[in-house]
Amino acid sequence: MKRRRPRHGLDLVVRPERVEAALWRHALADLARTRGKIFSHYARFARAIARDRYLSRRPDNYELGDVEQFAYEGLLQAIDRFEPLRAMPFRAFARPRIAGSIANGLGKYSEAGANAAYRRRAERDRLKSLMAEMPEDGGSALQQLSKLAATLAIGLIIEEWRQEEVEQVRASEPTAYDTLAWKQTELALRDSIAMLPANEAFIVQQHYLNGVAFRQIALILGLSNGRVSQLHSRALGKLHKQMAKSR
Amino acid sequence: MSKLCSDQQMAELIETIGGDDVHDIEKIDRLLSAFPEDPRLHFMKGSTLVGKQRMIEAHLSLQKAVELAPDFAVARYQLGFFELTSGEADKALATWGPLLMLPTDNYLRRFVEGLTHLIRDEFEAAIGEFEAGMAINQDNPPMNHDIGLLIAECRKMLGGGGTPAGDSSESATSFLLGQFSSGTTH
Repeated sequence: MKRRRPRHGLDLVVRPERVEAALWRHALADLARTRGKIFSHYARFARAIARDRYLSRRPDNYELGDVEQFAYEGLLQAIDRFEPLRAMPFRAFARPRIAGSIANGLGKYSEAGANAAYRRRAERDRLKSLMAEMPEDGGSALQQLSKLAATLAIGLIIEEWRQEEVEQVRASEPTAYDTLAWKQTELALRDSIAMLPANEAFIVQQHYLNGVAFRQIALILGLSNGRVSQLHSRALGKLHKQMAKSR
Repeated sequence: MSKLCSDQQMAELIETIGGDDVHDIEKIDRLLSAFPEDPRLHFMKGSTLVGKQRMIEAHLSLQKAVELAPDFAVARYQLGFFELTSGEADKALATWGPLLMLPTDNYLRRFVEGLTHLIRDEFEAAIGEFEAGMAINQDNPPMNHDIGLLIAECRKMLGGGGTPAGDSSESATSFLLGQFSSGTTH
């Protein structure tokens, strides 16, 4: 694998296989506390398998986001069942489980129809989460609607980063997203996410950047669905405030 | 009975595991069962496990060596280095803490000072400490080879070229920790 050009002193000495081993070392001591980090570490790997499966089938009754959800379920199962002290590397252990989870999921999915498509479910979850936390005396209906739209837009901006990763090849013509102002907004948003409390940052990153459903995030963090929804709303509220300040 | 195996037993172990990739851990474990509190054996086991890519167990063994002998400076240095290469910079700094109490003419201290600068992207200061450490280091000349490679990388980061300085033979660090040299166990 081609090694990234080092940008920091630490890049000169850090070795990926040891970073991975350190994660599992911590998992052996306390898996519940480490599951989130491990999930983040391998989410891209699971997504790549999902994309591969999706592209090989080119279906019209489900979306990539749906396949990714099944991949994440497989990844979670693999994380919980993996024995780090066995000689097998995690990716080799997890790959057939993720592929199996996708195959099983899509089998059931076809039967159930496309009603529960991830995209629609995620949008519904986000809206429910944000509306539940709206204060009743938070201004006029128009003000509330405006705040809701602005908060939802923050999620869309973050999701756009993920889209860039998916597309990889970018248009040569500069777009609105390439403007200086936009880039500054992105930077401010990234900084704001980094300043969120750990669980809130995890929810924002996993949900918007990796497309992980609230339900699965709840499993990873060992929290209820309601709590994840609440933390999501709180996190986006903070990001909204920070962004308003930085304008 | 002593907690430590004799020098002769240690020498025999080193001789018997040389070139034996299959039973080496088994042989170390056999001596460890008789001397479970010998930090040198844990250190040797940790280093051998690194070569086998058994990183989780390797860390445990290196950590055990330092727990048993907090003044075992080389083991402490290697444990911190292992943690640094595992992306655990904070942990490495905590492990190395006592080495900073060593006199300034101790090469391990200077290497640790250099690595601490490296973590903070202070490349010039890192190079200064590495070079000072290399000049002092007479106990373990091959270790200078790794540090020389690191200096070359630091110079690249500063925008210049750089060729490694120091002894060209493979150091214990690179062999045991598989870090820089080509042809290591990785």
